[in-house]
Amino acid sequence: MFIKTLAIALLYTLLVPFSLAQNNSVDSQETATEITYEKAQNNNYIVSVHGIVCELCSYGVAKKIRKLSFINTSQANNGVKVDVENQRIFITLLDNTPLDKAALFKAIESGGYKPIEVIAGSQEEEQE
Amino acid sequence: MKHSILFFLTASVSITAIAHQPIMDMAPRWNNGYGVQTRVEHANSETTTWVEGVYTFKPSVRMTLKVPYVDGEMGNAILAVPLKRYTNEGSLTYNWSITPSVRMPTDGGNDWDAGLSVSYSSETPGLYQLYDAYTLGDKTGIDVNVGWSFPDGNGSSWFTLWDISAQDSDSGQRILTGPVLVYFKRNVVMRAEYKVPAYDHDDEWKGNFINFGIGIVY
Repeated sequence: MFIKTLAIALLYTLLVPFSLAQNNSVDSQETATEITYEKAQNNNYIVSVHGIVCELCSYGVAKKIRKLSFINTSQANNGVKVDVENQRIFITLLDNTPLDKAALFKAIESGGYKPIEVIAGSQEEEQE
Repeated sequence: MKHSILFFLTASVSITAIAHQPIMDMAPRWNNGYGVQTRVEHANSETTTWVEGVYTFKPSVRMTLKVPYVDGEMGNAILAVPLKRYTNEGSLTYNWSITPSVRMPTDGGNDWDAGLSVSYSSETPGLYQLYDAYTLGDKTGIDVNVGWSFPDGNGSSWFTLWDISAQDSDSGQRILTGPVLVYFKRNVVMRAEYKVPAYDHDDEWKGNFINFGIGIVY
């Protein structure tokens, strides 16, 4: 009886915040914040993405980004590398191909995450 | 949290078949994602092989099917629809989940059972936790997974978790607890767990619980 009572209490406790979350949470489907970026000289960009903290969970979002026509999949990591420690995605574009931020953000949202900002740069440049 | 899980209440025959298996909870969380996994569990002097599949229509709506086999004979399959509400905030992602489920008489019987679970899980780059409460038929239970994750920065991670599972049913009550080890490599996940009874007043339960599983998502 103790376990059943405890389970029912936990069910109730979890259910209440779930209903609140329906009204208040900012989920991955929310429209991304407007971004600004500058043209990268070496076709490398860094995208800040909220919530991307799991290697397995980010497999899908990387796959979706690689399907974008402006991603250079011939580069290292097929043009997309996820940094779960710092919630960023490094992407490499094809030469003379502009970054389509709307398509990029849509791909990230469909992958279950919330894109925030994209800036010119690469992981290697940061480490220098 | 480097590691999802995990959990929804699946209308499972036993506590060992509830939702917090790695693929089913943590991935796929992307539109039109899918995955399959198989796992072998040994409990009550019986070995059960589960064949499981998941399809994610969108991050908030999934469907899972779990089919058990014992000595080559199909048991009662469980169909569930995890409904999730994700929130992404900086280095934290968490979700609330409600999972209605139904256990179908695919073993040739006539009995149908309905179930419901409510769960919460959260993950940061280092910490993963899952809390799940469920009811199905005469069974009511709770399940908790808490632990650490260790990503290598190149697409793979280790998770070391501790599991506490409690269940109340017509046959009695039991609490099982023990370690869980999860390993991810790209889109492949493996999970091993070993639990021992911390409290056993269940007439239908004897001994420890061992589980090994492997799955892949696309």
